[in-house]
Amino acid sequence: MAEVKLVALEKKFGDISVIHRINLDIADGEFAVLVGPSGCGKTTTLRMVAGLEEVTGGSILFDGKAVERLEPKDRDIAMVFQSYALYPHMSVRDNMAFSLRMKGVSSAEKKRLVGIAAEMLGITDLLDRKPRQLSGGQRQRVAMGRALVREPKVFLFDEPLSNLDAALRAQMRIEIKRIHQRLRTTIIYVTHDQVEAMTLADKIVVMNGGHIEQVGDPLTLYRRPVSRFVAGFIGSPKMNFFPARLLADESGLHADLGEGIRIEMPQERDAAYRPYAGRSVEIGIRPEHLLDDARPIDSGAVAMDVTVDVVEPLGSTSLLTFVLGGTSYTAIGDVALMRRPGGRVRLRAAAKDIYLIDPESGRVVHPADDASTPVRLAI
Amino acid sequence: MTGRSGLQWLLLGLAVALLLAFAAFPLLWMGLTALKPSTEIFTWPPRLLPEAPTLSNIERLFAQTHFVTYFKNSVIVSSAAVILTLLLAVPGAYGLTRYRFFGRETIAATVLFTYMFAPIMIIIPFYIVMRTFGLANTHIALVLAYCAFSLPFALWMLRTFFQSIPIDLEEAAMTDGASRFRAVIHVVIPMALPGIIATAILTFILAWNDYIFARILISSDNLKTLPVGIADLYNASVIDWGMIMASGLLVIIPVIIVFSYVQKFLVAGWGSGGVKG
Ligand SMILES: Nc1ncnc2c1ncn2[C@@H]1O[C@H](COP(=O)(O)OP(=O)(O)O)[C@@H](O)[C@H]1O
Ligand SMILES: [Mg+2]
Repeated sequence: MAEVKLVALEKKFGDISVIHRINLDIADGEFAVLVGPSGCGKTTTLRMVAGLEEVTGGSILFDGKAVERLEPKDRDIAMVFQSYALYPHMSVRDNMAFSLRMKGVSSAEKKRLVGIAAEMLGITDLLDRKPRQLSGGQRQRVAMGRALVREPKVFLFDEPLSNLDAALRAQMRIEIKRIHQRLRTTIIYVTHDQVEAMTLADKIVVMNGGHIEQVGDPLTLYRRPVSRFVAGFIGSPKMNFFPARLLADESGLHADLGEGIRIEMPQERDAAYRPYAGRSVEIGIRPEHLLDDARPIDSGAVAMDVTVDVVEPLGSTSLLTFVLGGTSYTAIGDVALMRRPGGRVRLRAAAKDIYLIDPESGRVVHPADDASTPVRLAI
Repeated sequence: MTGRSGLQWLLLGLAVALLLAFAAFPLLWMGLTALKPSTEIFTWPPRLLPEAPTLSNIERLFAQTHFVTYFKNSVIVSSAAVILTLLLAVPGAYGLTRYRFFGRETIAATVLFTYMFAPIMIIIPFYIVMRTFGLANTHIALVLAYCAFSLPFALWMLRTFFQSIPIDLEEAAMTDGASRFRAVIHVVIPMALPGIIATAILTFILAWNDYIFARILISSDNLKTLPVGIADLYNASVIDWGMIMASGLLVIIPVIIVFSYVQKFLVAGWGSGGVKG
């Protein structure tokens, strides 16, 4: 187990810069998830930690010791590959025992450790099979088992669940979380799936274009995204972004969304939002905060009247799609209200659930003395 | 493969039989002639089966010629050529697939180009080089010649095999605590085994069947390999066909044994399943 630090870590392939001097601290025993869209540099970052990719600049520290010049075998990491990378000519048992064999562990000890890991993953009766005789889900377990036989400093996972179907993925997510709760080994886990990131992580690292956008625990990222990118990436369905003009009059600030829709800004945010008065901004509201139901909203509710375009019932709730200014947006409806396409509804949101985004910088403007949890921002 | 009519089966069978006869008949004739006494070989009309089968041709081959020496020389030279070729081609082909360096693709292409030279074009210069180093009329010269000649093809073929092995597997081995060398030994080589065996067989056959290098590079009778040794049986004033056929038979037997033993490696491979899919 180890604490992992990335310091001004940089990677170029030829002239093309792929990772731009990122800094990251991962505490001992922490479950850190690198998340971001495809091509943002997650795998490259993970491979640099593993030692499979040379670093162009900066440093990687395990417990304060620089490891970026060490061979993978000398870093004491265990990695699960997206492709599983099982050795096809070896049985499951030999696949799992391979790392122990490389360390020169005795046969009896090998047998014991493989047995424990196989037990943990429920693959004891597959030990004598070859990888080609396994289903996709079983291969995935063996790939995990191969990492779990050891007690490495860090576990590295590169999209380990992306080749599984949805049901199996949900099941394995729970197992991975359980395993981490039991072993408490530092994990760096890469995924493009924000649901996986939210459900698994102690710490989410949102990456975009070779930069770290924001680091924080799942709820902080959900409540206080620093940028439009994070706001749009975390949460499902995606946050709505309404282009608007922020206007000031005698009653305070309000956002004009066009088509006669006007959202009053709460008094306590006046100081933070005032510099944007008279400018184009974006208003962000998550679908799950934009409600079509009769439930009372405690403080400073805002409302907008829209025409329903599509209704998607989900059982307990339904997704309502509506169009404003040629763009589709989503809200959550009460199935009991039986909305029909073409009907007019009044959607409401609590003022605290509204975000103001500076469209030039893409930053979310947060009031300084907001009552939410404190946030650590990425530099 | 359903839906073929009886007639189609018949035609197919005939075609196969024809092809088989064309390929196998000379071998069969050689084998049967080897078992005929000299008096029967020239009977007219010719007869397929020996009337009084005998091993006398084989006996004479062992008693009156240096067949055993030739055979031993062939085994030594061919095996050494296989070993040397693999020792050079396996790391070479691995390097051509796994390391990026200047001119890598050019080297790979040029390697195959050298394979286009017929042996006859390089044999004289090769002889002169060997003589300069004092290696003319040695087995070392033969081994070097076979190795030089099979290396381009071996490199090319193994490169293709190494390319087909997912790099993930080696990387997995390295994160599992293996050095690159051990990753190659434990993961890459076992997976490339069908290719390595195929390369070994082709090199062996090339060396085993070679006439021209052995003819030119070797002059001492006790260093000759089988093809040259057998060819020299013609030089006697009376050509002993029975003995020549017997030697032909004994030359192909080891090849057939090797082939039938290793072909299952060539066909089976290791199958897929390591990497998803
Ligand atoms: N070996 C490589 N050579 C050149 N470019 C690469 C290489 N590997 C990755 N890249 C580039 O680096 C960027 C980040 O890739 P990657 O780390 O795989 O992204 P992610 O895992 O987040 O999808 C991509 O633009 C990709 O094209
Ligand atoms: Mg990736």
